[in-house]
Amino acid sequence: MKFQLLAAAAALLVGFAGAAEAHGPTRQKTTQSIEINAAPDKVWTVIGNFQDMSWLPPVEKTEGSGGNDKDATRTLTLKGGATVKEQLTKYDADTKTYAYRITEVDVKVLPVTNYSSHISVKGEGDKSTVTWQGAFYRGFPNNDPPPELSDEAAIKAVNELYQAGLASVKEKVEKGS
Amino acid sequence: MRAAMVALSLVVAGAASADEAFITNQNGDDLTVLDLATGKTVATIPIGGKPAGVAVSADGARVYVTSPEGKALTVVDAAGRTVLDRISLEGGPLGVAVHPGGSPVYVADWYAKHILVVDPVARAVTARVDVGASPSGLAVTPDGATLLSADRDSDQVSFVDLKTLHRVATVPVGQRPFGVTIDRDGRRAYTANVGSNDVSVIDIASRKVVGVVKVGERPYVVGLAADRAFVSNQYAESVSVFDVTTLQTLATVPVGEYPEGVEASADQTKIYVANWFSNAVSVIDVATLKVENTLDVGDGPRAFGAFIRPTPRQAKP
Repeated sequence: MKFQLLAAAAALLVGFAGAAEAHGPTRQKTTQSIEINAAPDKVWTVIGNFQDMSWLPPVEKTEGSGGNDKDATRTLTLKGGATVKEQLTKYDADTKTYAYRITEVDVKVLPVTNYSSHISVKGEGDKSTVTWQGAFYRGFPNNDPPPELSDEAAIKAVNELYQAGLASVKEKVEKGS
Repeated sequence: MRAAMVALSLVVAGAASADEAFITNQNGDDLTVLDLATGKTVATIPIGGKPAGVAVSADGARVYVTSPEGKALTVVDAAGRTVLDRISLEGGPLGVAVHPGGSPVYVADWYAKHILVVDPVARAVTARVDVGASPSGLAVTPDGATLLSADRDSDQVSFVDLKTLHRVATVPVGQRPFGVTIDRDGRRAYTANVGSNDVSVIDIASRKVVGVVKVGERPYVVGLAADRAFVSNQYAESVSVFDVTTLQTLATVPVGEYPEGVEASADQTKIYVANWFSNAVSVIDVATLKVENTLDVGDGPRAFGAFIRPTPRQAKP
């Protein structure tokens, strides 16, 4: 399954978006957020463990090492078998925020390169806001990208992923599951 | 009494740094003109084509802006705040520098292994200079003799003789150098190495790396003021500061998210940092190494290049 929730066989092509690899000239950004009717601590128990991304619908399995320490790694296996490798770059339980990077993904799974992300929980009482933001380049590293690897395609894919993930967190937390 | 003293110091500070900043907002497709004395936006100039690189001419009259997606070099009348011309180029124009004499303009093609030499009046590419892969930052020595190109994907800096327009040397630096900055004496150059999280210090005369300074994650470019180097660390959301003589780290200053373009005020008392994700410019006091103000700009400021224009009042005191 593609990261952007489309059905697809596990990609055959090997893509690699390593640190600081070649990329297009224009970095994209997006910020998505959702309000949840629950205390921030409760929301954090669902999303605060870097080694468990089961709250994101396409993720079937999270395997990794290093817990929630800086430089911890995880491999997400998606429904259909594609994998995404990620690395934790910042983690602060006190402010309920962490940042991570994709170290390896096929652009057919998520059409981005040099992807980095922050997620945070803020709130008071029984109201929380989860904010998820990403910075990334399009999937195509050169000029004149094909439509499926354009800036627009990258933003659309990440937005859809974030919206689906945030909706899933809200549902899990509010149902108390 | 206290209010009067504050007011007085504001007046003095204003007079001391009456520069303007021309900030390329890549996601917003425009150019913010900031009056740095008041911290206010005084103009927003539509550019298009995802503007990234910027170079103010030495006399402050012109601002050259590259648009890598739009494949163009835009010529802006700095004082009039108007677009004078838009010159179509090829490839992915990104890094840009102006000869100290006002012309030509040098433009790095991110996708090719060359620098375009552009005559902005004739609106023509007059030469292509071969360098390494993905040339990024460009800088010209103050005497106008040599152009330095940070060849990002070749892990080197190319030295180009501007009389012959031939590369005369390559200097290996850290991994993936992006920005390159030359000091005011033309003695040393500094590259921000995105891949190795450090800064290479190059002696220009001997064409040798004379020092390497560890900085934060994903450094973008180096700004210089009063014998201090200020390095924007994109992932670390900070600016690393080191002493250019001892190469010792002096401070790590927290700024906004994804800090990119960095440049000093003409009087070297302030450092301005464009924060790409935060849509803001951080103002760092060079003496105290504290952020003293944060100025709103457009969407996705990169300000890659020389973006500060001394106003005529300051240029000719």
